[in-house]
Amino acid sequence: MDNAAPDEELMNHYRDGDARAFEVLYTRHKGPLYRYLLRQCGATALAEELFQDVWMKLIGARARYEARAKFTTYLYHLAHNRLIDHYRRAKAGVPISYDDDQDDPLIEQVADSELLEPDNELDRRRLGQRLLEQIAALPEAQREAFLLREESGLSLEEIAAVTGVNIETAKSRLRYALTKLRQGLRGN
Amino acid sequence: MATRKPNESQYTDPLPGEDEMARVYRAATQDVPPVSLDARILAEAQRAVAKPKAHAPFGGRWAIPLSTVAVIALSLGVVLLLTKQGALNHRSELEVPSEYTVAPAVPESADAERVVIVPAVAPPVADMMRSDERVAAPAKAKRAAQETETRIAESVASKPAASAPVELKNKVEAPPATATPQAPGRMQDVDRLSTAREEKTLTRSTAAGVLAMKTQGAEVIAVQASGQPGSYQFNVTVKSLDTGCKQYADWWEVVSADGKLLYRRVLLHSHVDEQPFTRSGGPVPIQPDTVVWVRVHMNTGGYGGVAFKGSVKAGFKQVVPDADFATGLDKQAPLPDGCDF
Repeated sequence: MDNAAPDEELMNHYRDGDARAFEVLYTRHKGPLYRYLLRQCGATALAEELFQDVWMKLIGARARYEARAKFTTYLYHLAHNRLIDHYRRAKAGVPISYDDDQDDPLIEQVADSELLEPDNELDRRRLGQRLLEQIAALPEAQREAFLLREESGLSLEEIAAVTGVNIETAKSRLRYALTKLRQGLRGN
Repeated sequence: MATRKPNESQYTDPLPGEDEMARVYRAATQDVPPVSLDARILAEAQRAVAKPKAHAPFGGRWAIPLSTVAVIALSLGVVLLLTKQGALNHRSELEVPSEYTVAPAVPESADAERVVIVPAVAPPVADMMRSDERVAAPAKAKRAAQETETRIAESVASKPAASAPVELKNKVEAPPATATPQAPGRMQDVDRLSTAREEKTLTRSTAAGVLAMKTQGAEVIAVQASGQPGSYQFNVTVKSLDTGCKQYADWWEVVSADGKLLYRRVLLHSHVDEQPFTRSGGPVPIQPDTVVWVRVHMNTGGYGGVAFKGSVKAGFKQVVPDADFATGLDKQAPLPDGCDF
């Protein structure tokens, strides 16, 4: 198996019975997908459960897989749906941030100055830790847009497709996320 | 982390501050799933595409369609055969005095019934096997299942006997036929044998059944622990009679020897199609020689009767705790917040 083969080709091989192709695919995507779920649900055990469910779903649906879209989009579409399904069954329901995409004056305050670059490892770690805390504080829909961008490298169009919204909404969520993160880091 | 590729026109440019934020984020997050979880998923992926070695010619993709065609073809064959036999019997009744037709009619009818009816009663057998497997060794369960299947096949075979006496009434005054008087006797023997076997099977399964009842539908069947003193990860394998959100194993937990809750792993959903299933959890704050219990809870029946007891150092063994062990923990947080499916 060619370890550099495109995702779609690997998935086709797996669909046809090549387990090694799945291993390459899994190794490639396990970290980003796990972190996406971990940041979205906030609990390790819960993230592991959802993570396993997503892969099981992929394995179960392999026979129906057709490379009509990018594999990453397909994988994160499964993950997004699993997450929403989980929200829906929980007592709190689907977070309101998925419905509330109204304009926020905050978006007009996009900072133009750069964040201070830490000059040592300790400061870099602190900055990273603060960023993770700010990410955890974001509304779910905005956090998801940020994670899909940073972890899976999806374009705005693909983020829109995965989350079932139009591209403007996806862009708006990402902008809100970035603005809030910058403000949060400066405020600390 | 993946690299972004600008493949849009209007939306390709990074948003303000995006690259900078990405740099900080990538340096801050290194989380990956645990190795045990990797192993479980990869094993499942491999199992899903594993081909039965004895049936290599057509591969996995054709297995289901071909088996479907084979089942249909066999079914048609059986139906045609039965139709043919029915026609022959009818003809023989026309040609031969009816009193001579009774004896052969019973076994033929019984055979026909066996072929047709046994699959219809198969699900209860499967259910019984599931119950037996919960507490018995696999070989024992298989043996019991075979005997149970035999019992059902025989009792099904004896079913036509119930209708036979109606036909026999017409034969009472007929000239003695060698086969005719034997039929009722044979049928009674079959009934007696069937009853005796049924009693024997029930007696044998009573112990397993009682134990299965005690487990309330779920039990722990394997426990593994790894990690550092004071912070161990547990891999717990559970077998449960899940049917969906109405009946499912909703958590497993680690309890100290004196009944205090050390860790609880809440399960998000039922595992109807994944049995047994393994879920990891932790960290569990114990030392290598700390003796703990690992037990599973069912949303309908409470704690299972079969749990594991032991320590990371000495290992864990299957034990049935006392009924009053650590009662009341099922009201203690964390508790399930709904069931996904």
